[in-house]
Amino acid sequence: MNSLKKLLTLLYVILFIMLCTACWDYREVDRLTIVAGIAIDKAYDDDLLLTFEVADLLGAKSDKPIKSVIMESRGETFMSAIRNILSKDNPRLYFGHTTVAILSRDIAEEGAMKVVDFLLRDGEPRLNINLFVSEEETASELFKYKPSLTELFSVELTNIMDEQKNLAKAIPVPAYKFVNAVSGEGISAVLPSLCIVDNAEGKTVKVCGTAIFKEDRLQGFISGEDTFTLSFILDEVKGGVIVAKKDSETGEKKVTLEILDSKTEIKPVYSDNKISIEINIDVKAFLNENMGGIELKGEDRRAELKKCAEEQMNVRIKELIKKVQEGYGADIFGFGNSVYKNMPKVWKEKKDEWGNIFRDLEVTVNTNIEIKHLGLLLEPIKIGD
Amino acid sequence: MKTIKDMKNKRRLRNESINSKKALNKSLEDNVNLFMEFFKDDDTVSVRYFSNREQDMIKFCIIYIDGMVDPETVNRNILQPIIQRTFPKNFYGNMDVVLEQIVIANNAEKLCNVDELVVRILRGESVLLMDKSDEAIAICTKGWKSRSITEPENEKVQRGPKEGFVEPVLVNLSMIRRRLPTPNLKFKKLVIGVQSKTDVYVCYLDNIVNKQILDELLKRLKNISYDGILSTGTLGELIEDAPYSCFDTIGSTERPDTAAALMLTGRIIVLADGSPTALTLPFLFEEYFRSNEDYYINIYFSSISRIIRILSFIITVLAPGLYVAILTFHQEMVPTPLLYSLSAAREGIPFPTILETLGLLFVFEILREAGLRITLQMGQSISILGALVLGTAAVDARIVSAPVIIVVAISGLTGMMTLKIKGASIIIRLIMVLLAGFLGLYGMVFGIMAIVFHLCTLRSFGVPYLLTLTSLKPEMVLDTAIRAPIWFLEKRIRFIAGENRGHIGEKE
Repeated sequence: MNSLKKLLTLLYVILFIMLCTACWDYREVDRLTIVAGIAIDKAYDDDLLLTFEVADLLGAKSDKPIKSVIMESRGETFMSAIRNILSKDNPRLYFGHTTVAILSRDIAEEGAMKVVDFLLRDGEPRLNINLFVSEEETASELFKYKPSLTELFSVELTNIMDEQKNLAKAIPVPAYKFVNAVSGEGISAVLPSLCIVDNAEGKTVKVCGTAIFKEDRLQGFISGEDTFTLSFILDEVKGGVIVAKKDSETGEKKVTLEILDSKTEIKPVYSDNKISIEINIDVKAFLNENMGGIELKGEDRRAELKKCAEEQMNVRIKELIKKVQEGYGADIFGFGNSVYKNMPKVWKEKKDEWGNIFRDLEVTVNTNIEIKHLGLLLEPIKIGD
Repeated sequence: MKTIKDMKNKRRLRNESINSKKALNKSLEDNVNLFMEFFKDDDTVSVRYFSNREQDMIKFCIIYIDGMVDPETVNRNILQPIIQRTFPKNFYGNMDVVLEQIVIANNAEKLCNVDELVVRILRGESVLLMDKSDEAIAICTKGWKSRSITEPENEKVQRGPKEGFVEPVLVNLSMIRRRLPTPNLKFKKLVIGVQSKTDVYVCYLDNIVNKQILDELLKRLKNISYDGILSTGTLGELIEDAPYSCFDTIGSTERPDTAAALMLTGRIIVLADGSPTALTLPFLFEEYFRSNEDYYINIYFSSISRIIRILSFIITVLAPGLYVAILTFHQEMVPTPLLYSLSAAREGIPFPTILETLGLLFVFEILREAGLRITLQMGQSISILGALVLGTAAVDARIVSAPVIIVVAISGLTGMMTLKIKGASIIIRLIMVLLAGFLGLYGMVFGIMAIVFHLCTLRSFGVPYLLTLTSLKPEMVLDTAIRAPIWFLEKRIRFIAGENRGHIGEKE
């Protein structure tokens, strides 16, 4: 009798599992339209105009790379635009593998959180979706330019952002980091910006620099070079090259230092009711190129080069900070955040007037570049007759 | 339950009626007729009358079955001495004299019960009858052809002994005895099977074995009441702890060196006549992943082999399920480029993933089963057929997608690594695919939990099935997924071995 009861119980369990859950969330992989990237524009009547780059799997052959198809949809909100596409192309858009979302300028100026909200609230899109701002007229026009090596624009863009660890001229900002910066204390958000440039064959899309936000509204753009400097302040540098110039009798000579490792510390100093910031940057690099043939044998000659490079770095950083302080007034460096973290009591007092304090904030920069070695050549190559 | 008991009682009664006691009398003719009554309609039974050339008034008769005896032995050791030699003076028709002074045989016995003698004849002995005597001599003249000793097909090794058990149980016992020449080695004989009367030998090392397990085994064996024990497999099923489980709780081996090694750990070996497979018990789950060769080769290599075997089992059981679950529920888990190619490969396939997978698994099992019992030449044609039909045609025709074939092939290939657990892995694999198809990874996790719970409840002769996997004692851990050097395995495993637990450093 007992075993019969057990059998019945098992039968019940299996039946309930099968009937009550009934393949919830079941979807065949070939029925999905995998969205690789989204461009978000504003339509003429205040609606959202979404442009999707999806992988064309129907035309995929095993020996050819997957091409992309561009789809477009309009709606009052993000979700309604996604649903409106059903009446047109009948795809079931799938955002689980979306890596790129590009905001147009006017959307960013109006407030990026309006559209970022969906990306975080919905279950499908990932939190680490890379956000961009288009410097061009619209965001969707970027999709028109085919990348040179991969077929999918969004995949190429993701690869470019991954490669920034060797360049540091753009700072990848996943959606969650953007939201953290927007909602965080004493820090303003940045996003990488995209523009169209001429390339060897036709035009192509490039990561130009950085878009500066205050709250969630776009304030302006800074160039790629400035972004490199910004990466040092934000401690985002993992690699890249520093070009140092050195004056000599025969004119300006350039050397390239390849960064091995870099560490930045932002230290707020509070004295006499006044806040000032101290930035300490520690760079480990090695000499990778000596264009001018500068003589580097000997401790003192290298110290000279080191000092020269450090000074140039200090200047660049100070210039950028000044530019941002005066031009945008947005604390993208997170100086306020360092005060909030290190001296919360002071922050409580100064919080409300931080906007003004930031504009006149005194910043001292100490860069220390340690040149580990000189590559494979100890001395510059002698130029004979 | 009652009916089964009744049936057993009836059977016992019937058995007793057959075993009615019949005794021989003084007339040779009557005695022979008595035997011929038993062997009515059996034309292989030979009856030969003969007498001594000098004292021809005493007739002899020998009864045996053709093919079961060695004719040479019968001629030289029974017929020749009785016919040619001069009988001793004290003969006077005395059977004891025949037994002691005339018949030349290492194994002969005087009996007078006809039933007993009939059994002896059936087992290949010759029965010698004499006129005016109510006694008979059963002489061991067994001699039949059997397979020569070869390496077992299923347990091949690269290094190590290449002997395998054969059908005659005494040969098998001798192979074990040669490996363990100690008086502690015991072979306990039981005769099981109402019709087959199979000789079953329980082998163990008396000073190592766990007496409780031995008693339990003997109790179970004695309780068996069944027609024919033709293979130890039947025997195993009748004495298993968990016969309804898809996992075996009794191990098996065809190698005498494995059997000897297992006895040294305290395990018990059961051999039956006519079966080249020995049962080993208690059997632990982890033994599925062992090979005797592990102990004959380099420790690192054998450890790697074991880890690969365990991984293979996990892969063979889970791979199709994981594929179904990930492709139908958890597309987020797949790396983007892989998802693109998987999605592209499935484009235009008419069946849902789960049906595709189940269908292909089914076809794979058909191929395997078809190839198993087929001659070598035919097996090749099957593999070509399978490879062609499945590998290319089905994919080209867009009936199944290429990734499913890869997954099923991997599952099949890894299944070959652990052949002993094959039955269980087929069932578990199927359950996993079904769970994955209905519930995704969530279902699979519950399926795995259910299997682990089930494994935890299993016992093999009272020893927990997962004994060595739930302890941190060195003797338990060091010989599981890895095979530690022999000197680390100082002690035998508690529960399996009796009181005497030292492997090394023990002197007699």
